Amino acid sequence: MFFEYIDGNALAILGAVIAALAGIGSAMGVGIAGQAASGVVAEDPKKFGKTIILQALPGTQGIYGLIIAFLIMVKIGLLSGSMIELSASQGFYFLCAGIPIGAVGIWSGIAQGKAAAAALQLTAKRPDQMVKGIIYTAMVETYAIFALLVSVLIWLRIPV
Amino acid sequence: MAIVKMQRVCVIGLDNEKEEFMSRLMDFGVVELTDQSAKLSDKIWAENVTADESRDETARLEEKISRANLALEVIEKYGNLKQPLFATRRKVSMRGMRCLMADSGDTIREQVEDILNLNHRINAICERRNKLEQDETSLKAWEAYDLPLELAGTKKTLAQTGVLPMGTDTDALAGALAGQAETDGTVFKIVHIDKDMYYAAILMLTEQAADVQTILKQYGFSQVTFGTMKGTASENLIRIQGEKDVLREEYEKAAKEAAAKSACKADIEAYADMLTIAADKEKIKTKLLKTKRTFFLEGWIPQRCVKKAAELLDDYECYYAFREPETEEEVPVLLENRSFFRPTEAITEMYSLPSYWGFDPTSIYALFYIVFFGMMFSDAGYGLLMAIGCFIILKKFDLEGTTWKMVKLFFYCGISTFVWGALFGGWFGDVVTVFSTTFLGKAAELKPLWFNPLDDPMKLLILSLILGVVHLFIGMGIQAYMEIREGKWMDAICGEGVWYLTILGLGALLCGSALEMPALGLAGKGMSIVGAAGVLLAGARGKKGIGMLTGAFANLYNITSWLSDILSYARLLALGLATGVIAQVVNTMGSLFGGGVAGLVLFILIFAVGHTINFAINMLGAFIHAARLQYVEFFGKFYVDGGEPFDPFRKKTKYIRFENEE
Repeated sequence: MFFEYIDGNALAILGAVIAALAGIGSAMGVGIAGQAASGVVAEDPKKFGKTIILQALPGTQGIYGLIIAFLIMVKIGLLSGSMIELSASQGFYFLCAGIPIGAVGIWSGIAQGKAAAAALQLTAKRPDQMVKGIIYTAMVETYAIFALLVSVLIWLRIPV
Repeated sequence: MAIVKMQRVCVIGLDNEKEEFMSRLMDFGVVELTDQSAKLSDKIWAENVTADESRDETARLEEKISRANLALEVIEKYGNLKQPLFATRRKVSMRGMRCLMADSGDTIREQVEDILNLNHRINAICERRNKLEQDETSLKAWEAYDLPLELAGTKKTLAQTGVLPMGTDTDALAGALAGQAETDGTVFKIVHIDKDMYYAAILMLTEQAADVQTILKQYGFSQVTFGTMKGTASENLIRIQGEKDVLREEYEKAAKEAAAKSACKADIEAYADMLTIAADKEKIKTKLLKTKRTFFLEGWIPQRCVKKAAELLDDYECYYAFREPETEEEVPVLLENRSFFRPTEAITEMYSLPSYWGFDPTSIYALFYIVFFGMMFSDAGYGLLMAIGCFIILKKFDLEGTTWKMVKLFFYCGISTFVWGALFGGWFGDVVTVFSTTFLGKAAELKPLWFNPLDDPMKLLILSLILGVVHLFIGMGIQAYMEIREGKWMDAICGEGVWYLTILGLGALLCGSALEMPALGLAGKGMSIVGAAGVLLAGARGKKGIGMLTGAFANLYNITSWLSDILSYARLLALGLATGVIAQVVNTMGSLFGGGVAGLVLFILIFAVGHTINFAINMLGAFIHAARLQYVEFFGKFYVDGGEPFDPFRKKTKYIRFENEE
């Protein structure tokens, strides 16, 4: 049966998968910001350099997700080719470690994308005020950073 | 230090010396003139003075400036000049500039006109080319039509060309024309089909024309004419191609001429700047008032320049007076900090200048900014790259203003990043270990000078939070200082004192239990209880009845905002870890292909791309979040913003700057 395959290692890999899902948020966020950026550059092609920074901001959630996924894979020995035998509870810990950044990453990425789009409008009208737009956008990032922190702290303390 | 003290100056001078005086004032460059037109609504002033205006002269100069700027744009467009990484202003001497303008001012003016004529010519060429291209596209469809385009018919026939919309049943149309006696002399031919239209040529007998037209109209035929074109379509296409070739040659010639003009770019830039100076000198007059023989001006001047200004004013026998700014008057703000702290002014300016009556914290938080940046970026390799890069830029370019400040600040931040990276053992992540195990077969390691945050994150978390508390306490200290400066002792004690006590008490309580020192814990307990009671009392202060109770507890509730402020510094740990772990991911990915030459090439490739991306993203992150900790957490405790930047009457040039200008 299907459930027979769910052992500690499977749960741990599931944790890595969930962490990597933070990329959904980043993809959507970067997409939203990219649409706004194209609108701004259509008016003034010289603003490409400025807009690319704002577009990149919602991309960090995906990176944080990648970090956790990678850390989990390293710790369970997936990358070196010989997986450590994990108990069910150990596997469940790894699953837990993946959830904070996976879940928060998705929503904060989207929200940050919207903030970045608004900041791009600001940049279009008042290029000198761009940094303030960046700061507004970075405020959203805080919560992804905290989720990353929680994920890392859980991951660190899992005994293997 | 901090915010420069200003003095208000009023001057009355003689009109016949005005021009020279204003020039000297511009050279002096330290007086911000304020607009005086409001005074004219006052009856006494209005009876005696009028506004000084010189619109015509200003307009004339601005026309010249815009011509010079247009010429520069043209040169830039066709000259293919390499843009330097940073725009810097050329250093020139005032004397040299005057000579240049006197000797070759006319030549430069001619050059500008030449360039504008060239531009005009190029535009005309482009316009004609567009017209030809339009003709070309419309003629392409008629290439198969081999009668001359101007042919309208013969003695007995009429020739017509036109289009039918896509979807028309052309067979039915042809059948309809051929099928009846009234129209059977007609020749109907489709010459071309594209995705929207049928292109049709029709030859009809003149006597049947009316009937043919009726049928054509039913099928949605609309006539196409070719203006003044002569000959067949293909002949015309050849002609157009020929004309286009000629135009292309003309265009290239003109563009080359325009590119050759870029040799006089420097002269035109200087010319544009000299015009700007002249225009500014005219424009500033709108801020003066005048009578028949005198002028009046008012403005702000930094206190330390007062003595020199007085000498200048004495030279021109002006009547003048200086005074201190009145409380809450709107005074322009100029920041001035010692050399090490000056670059951080860029961060303050980015937020918004402090009010003249507030406090400039630049020199206080500069060190925090640099330390926070270093902790979040925390890779010795990246830090070294950044510091060296900024150092080279500073040496190579003669930067000024905000750009200089930013680059210099990044230089310091690079050093800080290097230091923290070395402390935490991050050199492009763990590249030494990975490289040596993959390619040299044995594991070498660059040991961290202090500890690796991945081994002991709690230690770094606690350090981050302690730094945060210190940072916040300093912010609150500034608020207390400002209140005490205004003599509000009670406010300082109730606002900041009780919180110091509470937070320190709680900290001691925590340490006491963690380090198992009961005495410290007890002292902490006492302090925090007294502090909390103080917070309650402070909240109730100045309120009545039930308001006392709600005020007291609302104030105590602020403990949550303290908590969130302090926890916000956890990002120092998280972003530091992010840099290190991404760098490790890059290194591991590079090592996946194993040893050997192919492995090494791939490793170097992945190393270069991966670390470039990690560098860019995390540098941006460190820059933003170090600024955020200042703006939100630190400034939130005390900052009063809203200062207008000090903008003295001076030479605002774009391309050149004068030597010995301060």
